[in-house]
Amino acid sequence: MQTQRAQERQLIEECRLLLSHEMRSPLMVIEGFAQQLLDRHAAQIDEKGAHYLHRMLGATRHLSAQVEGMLTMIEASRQPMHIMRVDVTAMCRSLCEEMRAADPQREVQVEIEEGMSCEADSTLLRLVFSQIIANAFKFTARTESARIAITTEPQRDEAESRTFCVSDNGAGFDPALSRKLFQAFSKLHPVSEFAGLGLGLAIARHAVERHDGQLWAEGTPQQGCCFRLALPQ
Amino acid sequence: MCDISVARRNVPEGIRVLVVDDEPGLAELVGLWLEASGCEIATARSAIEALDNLARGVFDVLFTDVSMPGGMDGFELAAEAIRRWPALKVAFGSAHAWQSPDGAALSATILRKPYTQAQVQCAVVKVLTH
Repeated sequence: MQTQRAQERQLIEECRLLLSHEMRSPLMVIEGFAQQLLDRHAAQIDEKGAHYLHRMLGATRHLSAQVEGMLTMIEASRQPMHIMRVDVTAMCRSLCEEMRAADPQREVQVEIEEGMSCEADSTLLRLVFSQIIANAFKFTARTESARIAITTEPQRDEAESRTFCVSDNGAGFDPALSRKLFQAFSKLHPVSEFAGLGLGLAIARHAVERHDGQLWAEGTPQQGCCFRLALPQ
Repeated sequence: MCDISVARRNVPEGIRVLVVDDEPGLAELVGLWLEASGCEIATARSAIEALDNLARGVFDVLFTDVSMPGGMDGFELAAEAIRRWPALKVAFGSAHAWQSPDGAALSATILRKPYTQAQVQCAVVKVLTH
């Protein structure tokens, strides 16, 4: 068992090195020179040629984003943990501000419960909330009067798991498919409606599992969903 | 943060930059990005080639990858280059998110791949002004 774990760790490390060292630079080169062609040699390229270049750029950027997503997932699975008291309210406020700044045209009503906190690794917990909140922003993009709420569930005693809820009134999902939500590269909605890599919730699940916690979701199509995150205290 | 248009304006005309990366395509690309800001560029594929270039020409900035084959990495190249040419400014590109062992002493900027044209131009402005 020990040997198998060591072999798995070695394999993950080799994958990490492949992605970070061997793939990033060539991808930068492909994207960079395709962009150079469009920016500096446009006069020598006909319409069809420019279309092909845009296709190459789009595919390269998608692949780069997949590489970065996989590296984030690997980091979430292996980086050392430092458990401390985390101000979850402040963390969620800051994340929501970042997401509003990334898309200032959008109006989203966000409610964040005051005084939320828990014991966790702050880097990993931020990663978890960033993925779940980004998900909520994304899937409310086609909703009029979009609303997101971040709250806690009542706790019977201090020793019980702390459960956080991130709910929205967005696109929701078919409950029969809820297990697929947290699988890497799984997308429940067409990319033409909601762009994405299908990695965010898998990353969040890895980070939650590092805390021996649980992450699950309930949803209804076109009515929204609620992600629950339980962390042992 | 640094905006690309601000970076372009702030890179002094004619700054000489040596770009070092064992991936020649990436060195050329970074060179093109900096040429667009008015920099004069030379490229090298290893630390040894970089030291040879530095000995033969006058450079203001060294932009080097950290991980390079050949027994001398980007940090070691920078340390040796600054020992021989103390006025040289250094910025790094790296696949890792790490701090250089003596980052403050090198007054270094470390860009994590995949970096952008704006980030490279900003890094050059930063090392020239600090």
